[in-house]
Amino acid sequence: MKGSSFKRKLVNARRVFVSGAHSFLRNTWLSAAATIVMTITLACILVTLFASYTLNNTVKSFTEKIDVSIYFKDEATKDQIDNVSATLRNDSNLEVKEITYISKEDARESFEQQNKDDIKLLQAIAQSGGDLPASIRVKTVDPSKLQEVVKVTRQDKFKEVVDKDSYADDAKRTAADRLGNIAKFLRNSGLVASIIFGAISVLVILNTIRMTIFNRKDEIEIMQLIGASKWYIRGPFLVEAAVYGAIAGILALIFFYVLVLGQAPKLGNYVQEISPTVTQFNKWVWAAVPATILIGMLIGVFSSYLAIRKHLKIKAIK
Amino acid sequence: MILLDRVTKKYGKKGLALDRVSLHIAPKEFVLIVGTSGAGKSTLLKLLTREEKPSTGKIVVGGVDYDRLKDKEVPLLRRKIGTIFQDFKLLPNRTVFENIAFALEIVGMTNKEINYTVPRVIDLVGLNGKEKNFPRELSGGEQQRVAIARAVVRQPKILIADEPTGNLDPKHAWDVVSVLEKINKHGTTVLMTTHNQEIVNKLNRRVITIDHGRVAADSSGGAR
Repeated sequence: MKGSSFKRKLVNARRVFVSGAHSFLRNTWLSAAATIVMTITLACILVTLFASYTLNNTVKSFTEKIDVSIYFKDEATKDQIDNVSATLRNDSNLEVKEITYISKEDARESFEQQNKDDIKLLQAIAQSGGDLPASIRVKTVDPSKLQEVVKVTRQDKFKEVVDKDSYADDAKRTAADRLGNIAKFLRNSGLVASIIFGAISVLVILNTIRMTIFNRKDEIEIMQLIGASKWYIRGPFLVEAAVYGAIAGILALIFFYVLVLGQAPKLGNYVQEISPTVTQFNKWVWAAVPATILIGMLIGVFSSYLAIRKHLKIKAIK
Repeated sequence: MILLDRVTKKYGKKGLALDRVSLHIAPKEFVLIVGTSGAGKSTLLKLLTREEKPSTGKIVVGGVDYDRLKDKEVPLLRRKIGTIFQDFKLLPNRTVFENIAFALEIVGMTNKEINYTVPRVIDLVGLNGKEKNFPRELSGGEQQRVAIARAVVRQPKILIADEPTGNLDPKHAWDVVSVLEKINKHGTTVLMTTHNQEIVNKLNRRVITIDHGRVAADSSGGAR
């Protein structure tokens, strides 16, 4: 008996799917309208995601380059310098990521390397016999902590050793701060835009399906009177909406991967971080494809469920 | 089989459609419900198919107490009762065969079972050769017979017919009544409302007269 009941359920499920697919094909205009709106929504979500990732990567790579150099006095010994480094490293509040020691010789070599074409300058330096100072270059996990770093090195106890630091004239840091804020703003506005488009999409699909239901409300009433269960009546509408969602998902993915990601590297000259982001998105394509299609289907099914709910109430009024 | 105990149905404050109606209908009976328009006949049938709920009173059909019936059980109840509507209520985009098959589809019957059952019912109502026609291509009488076929295809114990002859000329009306009689002979309880005095006289069955929402008369017809 149980087996036969299961078989009947399977037969019903198949009928619901076939019927839903048929009505998708039958209501061409309504289907097209719903699919287009949903495609725009999904494409908007994907593009927002992409833009936000690119910006995040840009901010990240920018902030990674931010550091502060602490220059030491001529007479500072290596031990004293190590002592400063250790103090910074041991201060857990600073979250120091990296400290690079640059000796006088290293500094000179690097300077000569950088200015190897400017012979006059090199000669002038050599004649003056002036050494470049030894320094340490400090990077922190959070660049805003660099301010704390220089607070430490400017303390009186290091006065004998530390000469100066590069904190005050660091334009990179200000730029990064500003970029970070822009990224945050864009990410938030992208999120808001996605939510708004999502809501519009639900509303449009809700109304599209309402129109379909309105056209077929007599049919729904007859089905109810004959004893069709709610799921039997609702099922084809949900399947139809899931089809809108799946097709919209595929279209949005095509638009995104072919047009946006395909063309994005051309912007590489302006935004360097675009190429790594494109690579990242290409690497995750196996997850992006099912996720986008699934989101489309869920939006469709949810709207359809809302639209038909009202029509499926058992009419008996006391 | 069907029991109504002091059933009252009010619409708003003034509209009293049924007033303390009590009835008992035994299995396999053929009962005619008569009365003028607005007397409460259709309301009575709508209460039985649970299109509406009574304001007060008790209804039990085929052992199902409607007071205890949950909304989600209503479709199951309706599958046990065959219903014929005055306006046929056929699905316009489906053929005769598909309309009848629909009643079987919703209970999960396989195509094989459907292909076996439907032609037999089409034969019973005399619609052979019309299987592929759409409702709009049929006469009123034929459409009503499709509706009857759909109502009986699941072999319900109870058949409720709301003015099944209301839209038909006398010849077609009589065809429909003959089909209902045939179904009744197979053991189905038939409950039918009608305006048609000729049918009432000719059928010679139990007649319940409703007037102003009350049972005005309940007379058994000829031998049954």
